[in-house]
Amino acid sequence: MTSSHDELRELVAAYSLDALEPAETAEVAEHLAGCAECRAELRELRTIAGQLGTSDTAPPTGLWDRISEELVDDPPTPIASAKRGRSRRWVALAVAAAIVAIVGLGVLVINQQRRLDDAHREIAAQVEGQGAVERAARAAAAAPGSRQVALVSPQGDAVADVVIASTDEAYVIPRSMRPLGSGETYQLWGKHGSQLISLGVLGSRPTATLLSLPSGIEAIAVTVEDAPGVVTSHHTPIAGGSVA
Amino acid sequence: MMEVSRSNEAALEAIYRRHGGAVYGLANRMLSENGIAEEITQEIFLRLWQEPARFDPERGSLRTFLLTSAHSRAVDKIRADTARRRREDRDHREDPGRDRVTPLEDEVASLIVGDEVRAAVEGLPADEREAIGLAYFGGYSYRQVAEMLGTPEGTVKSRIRHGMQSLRALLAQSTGVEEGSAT
Repeated sequence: MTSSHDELRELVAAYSLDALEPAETAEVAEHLAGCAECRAELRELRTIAGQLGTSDTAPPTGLWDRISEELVDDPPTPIASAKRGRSRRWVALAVAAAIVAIVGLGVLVINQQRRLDDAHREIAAQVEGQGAVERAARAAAAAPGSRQVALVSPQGDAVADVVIASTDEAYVIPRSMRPLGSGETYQLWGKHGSQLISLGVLGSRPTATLLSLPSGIEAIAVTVEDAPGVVTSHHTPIAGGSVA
Repeated sequence: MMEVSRSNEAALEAIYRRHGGAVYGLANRMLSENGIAEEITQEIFLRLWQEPARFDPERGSLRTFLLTSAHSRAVDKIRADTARRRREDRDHREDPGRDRVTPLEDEVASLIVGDEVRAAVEGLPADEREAIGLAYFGGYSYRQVAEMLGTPEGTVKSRIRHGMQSLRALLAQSTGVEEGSAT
């Protein structure tokens, strides 16, 4: 059966609700693969469908533990190339989680896609070897036009440097960040007006890290948080610096 | 490499803490049988762990992706269950919805949690609300909905399309950031 674009477009709404019969589903899916217009419509309709289905139900107690146990049973494959692929893909999710956390705060979400791209580069560098980010950071610091912000503790110690190479390329280079316990992490924040936006989680033993700095960030601060990081910090920053 | 995998698990947990309730809540509203919603939630998050590339940010938010996946799985379960019951009991062959509670058009809105979304749905004509509710929460295809209501298939298809487009128009301005309304 061959249906026209208009006929198939009629079915996109029902498709977004999983309300087609299997044969129609397959036909619409095939059409969507080649039709950007219908894909755009589906994207919007699925968002609406998701809103119909959304709720603030609490999942059953212990469900995460059961999911988590299954993860242990399925450790990342030891094959290097496979690991690399998985790591890169996972960055999209890790960043999505961070973006979600930011939205939860009700703050501005700026340059999501750019952050995603940057994070892809970051994890690629991590997988290739941490030294690559370190080298890129040093090169950026030496490049003309880059700016450097020292993150200084209340005692006057330089805790880390932020090198701003361009609007979408900045690096954190730790200088004196003591290793934290495994349940803790350093977290970086950007001050945007009266809001604090999470710029990323640096882990318990930070190394040079690539990040994207949303425009309009006036100051950067570092806090110590419980791993894996928090949406809203209740801690006083251990260090900070003004970007302006 | 363990560092990477640990941070992956932390990311998955953060995603679960944020969206696990919505995924579970949707499956739970669609399937009355105990345990199935939990099974679907577990399946959705494990699949995300195993095949993260299935989530494409270009196609929508992570929340939409997870809810879409959960919805599809719930519909699969409902249809498999209906087919099984039909085989077991010939009496069901004429009535795909006989042994499921049929959400009446007035009850559709009560299944919706967000105030703004509920108000938008309540603003739809009753027949559009009913068609969308039966399809989305009941897991019925538009053909089954037509059969249940004794309405021509084309009419149900149009009601779903028109209703969804109205919701899109009503909710579009308030959803510049998709997850924002879900908080």
